[in-house]
Amino acid sequence: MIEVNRKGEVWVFAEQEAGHLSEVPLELLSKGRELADQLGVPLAAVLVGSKVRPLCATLAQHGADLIYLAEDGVLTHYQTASYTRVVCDLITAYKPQICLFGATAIGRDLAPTVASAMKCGLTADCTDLQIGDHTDPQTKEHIAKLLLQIRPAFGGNIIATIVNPHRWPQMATVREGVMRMTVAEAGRTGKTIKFPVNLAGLDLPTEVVESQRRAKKVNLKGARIIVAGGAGVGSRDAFRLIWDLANILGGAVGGSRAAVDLGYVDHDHQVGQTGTTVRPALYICCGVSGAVQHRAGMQESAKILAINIDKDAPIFGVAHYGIVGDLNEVIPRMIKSIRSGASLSDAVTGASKA
Amino acid sequence: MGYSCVVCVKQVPDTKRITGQAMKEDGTVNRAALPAIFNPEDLNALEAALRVRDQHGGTVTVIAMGLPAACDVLRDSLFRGADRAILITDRRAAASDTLATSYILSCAIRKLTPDLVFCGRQAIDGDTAQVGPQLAEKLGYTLVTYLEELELDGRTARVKRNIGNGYERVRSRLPALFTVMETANHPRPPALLKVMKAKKARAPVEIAKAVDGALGASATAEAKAAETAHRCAEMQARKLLITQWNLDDIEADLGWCGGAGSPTKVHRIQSIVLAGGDYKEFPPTEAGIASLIGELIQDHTIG
Amino acid sequence: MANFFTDNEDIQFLFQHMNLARVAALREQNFRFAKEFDFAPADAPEALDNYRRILEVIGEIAGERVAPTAADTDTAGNILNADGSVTYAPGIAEAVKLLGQADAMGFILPYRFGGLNGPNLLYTMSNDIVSRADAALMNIYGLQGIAETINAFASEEIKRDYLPRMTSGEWTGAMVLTEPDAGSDLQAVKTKAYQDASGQWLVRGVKRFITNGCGQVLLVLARTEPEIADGRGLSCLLVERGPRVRVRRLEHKLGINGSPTCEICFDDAPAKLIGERRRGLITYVMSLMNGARIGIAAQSLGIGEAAYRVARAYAHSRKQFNTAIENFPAVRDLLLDMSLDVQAARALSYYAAYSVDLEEGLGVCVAEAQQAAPDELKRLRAEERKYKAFSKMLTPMAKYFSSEMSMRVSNSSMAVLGGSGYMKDYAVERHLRDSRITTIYEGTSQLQVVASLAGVIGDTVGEVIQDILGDRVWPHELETQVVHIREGQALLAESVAFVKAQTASNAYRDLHGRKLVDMAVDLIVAALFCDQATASPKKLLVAKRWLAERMPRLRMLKEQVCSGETSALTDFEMLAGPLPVAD
Repeated sequence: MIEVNRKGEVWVFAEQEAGHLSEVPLELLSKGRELADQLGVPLAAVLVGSKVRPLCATLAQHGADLIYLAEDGVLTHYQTASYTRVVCDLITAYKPQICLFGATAIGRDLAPTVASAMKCGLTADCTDLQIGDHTDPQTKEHIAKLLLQIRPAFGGNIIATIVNPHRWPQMATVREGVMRMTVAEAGRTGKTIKFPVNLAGLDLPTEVVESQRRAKKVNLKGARIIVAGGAGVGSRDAFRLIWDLANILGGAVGGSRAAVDLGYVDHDHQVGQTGTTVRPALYICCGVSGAVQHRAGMQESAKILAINIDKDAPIFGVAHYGIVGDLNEVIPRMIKSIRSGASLSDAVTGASKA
Repeated sequence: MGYSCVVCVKQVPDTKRITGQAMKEDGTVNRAALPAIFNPEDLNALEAALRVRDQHGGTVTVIAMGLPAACDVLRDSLFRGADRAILITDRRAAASDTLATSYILSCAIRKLTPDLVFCGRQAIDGDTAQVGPQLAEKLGYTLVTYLEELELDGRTARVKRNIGNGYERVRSRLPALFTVMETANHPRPPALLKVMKAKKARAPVEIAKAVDGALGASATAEAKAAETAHRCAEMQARKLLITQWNLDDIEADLGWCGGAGSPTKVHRIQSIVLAGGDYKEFPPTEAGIASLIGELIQDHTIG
Repeated sequence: MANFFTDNEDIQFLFQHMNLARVAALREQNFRFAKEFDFAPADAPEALDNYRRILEVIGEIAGERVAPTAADTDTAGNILNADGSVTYAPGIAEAVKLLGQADAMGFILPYRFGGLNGPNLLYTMSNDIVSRADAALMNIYGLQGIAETINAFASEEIKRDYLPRMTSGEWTGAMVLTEPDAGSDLQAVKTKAYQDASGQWLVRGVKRFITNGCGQVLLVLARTEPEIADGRGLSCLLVERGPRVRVRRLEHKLGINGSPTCEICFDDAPAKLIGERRRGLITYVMSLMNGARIGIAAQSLGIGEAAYRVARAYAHSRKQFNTAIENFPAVRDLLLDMSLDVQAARALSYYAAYSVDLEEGLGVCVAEAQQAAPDELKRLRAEERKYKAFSKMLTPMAKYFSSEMSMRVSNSSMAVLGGSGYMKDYAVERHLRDSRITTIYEGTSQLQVVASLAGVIGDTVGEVIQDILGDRVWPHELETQVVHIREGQALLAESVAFVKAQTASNAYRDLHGRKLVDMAVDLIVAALFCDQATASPKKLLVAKRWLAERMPRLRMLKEQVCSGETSALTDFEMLAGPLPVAD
């Protein structure tokens, strides 16, 4: 635990594997940038590893003012014990007010361990972060400019906003793909601060024997958002639109049996009676007529958005939202609207505060 | 020789069955309207521990922290083959976040000095996946998350971890804490002969409640206490007493428990459960689509 | 979280409604086992609580673990390995392991061998539940009669050697009866068993169509008395799977592909005699077969239930002409016929299982009550005789009606699904294929009719109906229905009298036997529904619909039976036409 430090920086843990940054830290930097600007403090990236200095430039181009660089041969592979030691030492030394981690396999291992060691709070799997005021319902104590940590809970059925008023740093892990990544700013630079790693007396309890990475397979079951296309998409080329929409939403791509049979998308993606049964938070079906076989596989999704040119398509019978129109026009408009969503989101937030 | 194993289990509301009725008017969850179930990945953790015992011998002790109703998951654990069940229940533990919860569990587990601790990767009510790692940190045990396969050889564990985009094989020193993935195993079913016996297992708090009901309002507190003690002793003799600990029993520092020990606070809760039926139509125009996207952003369906 | 017990309104109702407390008291021999085993129930409420938990566990295994594998099991089938061993489909292997872990593979065995001491009625319910998940699994799970037969007739030594490993699910069994030239006619069995110089029994011969013939414990019907050509020369022997037992072929079947159907060669395989010589067929196999018939009735219930559910769900979600097809009167009627068919078969089969439990339980009471007052002993004996007669008639009747029901219902289910149902996308085509065997094995429908006909002719039907209805004052709405049943009984009595009057031979009786049995089933089911209706508004509607449909049919059947029509006997050659010439 560190004292409340209003001048503390906003930190982003720059997760890397084998010298490559994943997308999450870059997504976090863009959100971190907003938060740091609102608080009027610097944004810093924490880069831990071995021979990772070349990544500093990328982090700066994505918005980091400072990069804390902790390098050591022992840190080549992520290990709970060694990384926790380094991150805790950094926090103790610099007292940041906010620390953000990706809700990745590593982030969800490291962040709770660090929070436990620092005896501070941690909110898992946030889908949004804002700066706002908080009044304690019991003591009526009013605290300005806390990190509002917004996350779905209860199987995605409620949205909880969590704050950490007293025992800092305010820590959160953030879901992959939900923050928009800003484009790298070519000329932007940051200051690299080399942090002396001290792992004296640490006898690593774990040894990594083998590590296998594979290209991510379709994970329809685990996806929070699924964009699915049907026969109405028209061709494998036109199916590109489905992929684009899924990518920008950080979702998975699904297909009806007709789309699979027509070769628009591979069988792994099939949703329905004979494919995978899914229940994501949002299911967007484009050009899917809604045969009973397909509906059986997706109708329990929390929210269903149907886009179809035929207003009588059965899919509208299970939809919560519907757009009757040509998906070739609708999807590009959606993508455009989501891209400009940042300003929209601010407008909405402003409205809800008022 | 064998290994002494502890499994942390949690009783959770079945969040997969949430409907409109499960939400209160103020937007909070009406837990009472949801069936309480064994947290799914805790069943995988229990299965992993039982397999260790089947293969190497030793004991499996199951710990649940919560209201007396959590005895249901403890009994379920006994049905599936656990040797001992412990309930940690204390009003002062209410409103604990993951930090306070892991502190309380660590105090209890320290009394048992197990070789191995198993936790489900995460619980379906909070989905935080934090208690396992935080408990390991507090105990000073080696943390191995996302366990899929486990082999033990003396004081070394060889583990296959599922890291999402692949796997990792690690060798870890004991004592260790594992968080177990749903993909690790298929939990065994309850064994019916064990069900027929252990369905009678009770924790003292449950026995006291039964005594209270049986003796009625007229009986004195002393009489009730005596009857409760008598029945507990009887259950103990039949090996049907669930161990029950409060925060004093586990020598927990109250400053780190419950609300006081929890740094995180709830700022706001919003319900996003949708009613079925008619869909809301948006025109395919730029404005129409923008308002749809706006609505989805506002309720955090999309980021 | 699918649980095939808790999601089944009808099984739950019958669990509640039937007199399981009486069954439990008999099965637990007045709860005396509680002193010996800390898990045995001390009274009826505790036993019923155990029973409910048993079905809940099996319902969860069936719904969560087995049902999702059924389609793959059907496709994969079993593999005959080069060494003559058989590898189950993965889903079946896993299911047997799970059921063993759940202590459910010794369902009806006594506690002392690790069994659950479950009554037949409860076992029947569990078979219904398991078969809904995968009909083929029932052919292994539902073969616990093998262990039961060992328990009933084998020596203590054999019981101790085999039963614990069977209750754990480690070993499964098979009843090895059929031969290439001995199917329905088991008296013709040729496989022989003989003793060598040391007195060791050895078995030699070939058996075919053996369900789970790859199991470790084989109960073989073999001829031990070469000089006696009929069933009295046959004995029952236990052969353990070993080098002298070889599965040489797995059959390719229309359905139940998860159940291995084996051809087995016994090459002087060492064997142990079960019970006494010469009683193999007439006592032991008949007893085993009766249990197996109830098992097939339950398997049929599970298939029918599964097929009905697919149709019900589909008719609700399938829209044609702008409306769900369940809104069309013809589809509704079809669905209700299916639902009532399933409920009728379940009521009848469960009642048959109940009768078996009472017969067995009262048998134990009689054996132990030799010192009791003569009046009491006499009363017990009379009751035992009564339920013995009931189960003798009801067992083949339930097997007949339930198996035919599963074919009708899965056929109708396909009608509801139309073209989709004909595709492999839905489970209906599997249910239809699986259902087809149920009217064939453990005795064809024609044989079941013959087996139950004696009871129908001898008016066991009347006694059964009296036992169900009892002497009570009926609420007005039911009174009308009971009057209908009495009318129907008169029609049956008239038909039976007509058949009895045709004294020339039994041919007329056999020709019209099925109609008589159909009449009996309609009436017994009507009585069961009326009894159930006293506890359930839904069942009142069921009883009314049933009688509204069945009374006209009873009149028609009576007319047919009393018509004297005998063309099948007198003009067969002309009507059947010339024999097809082989190509």
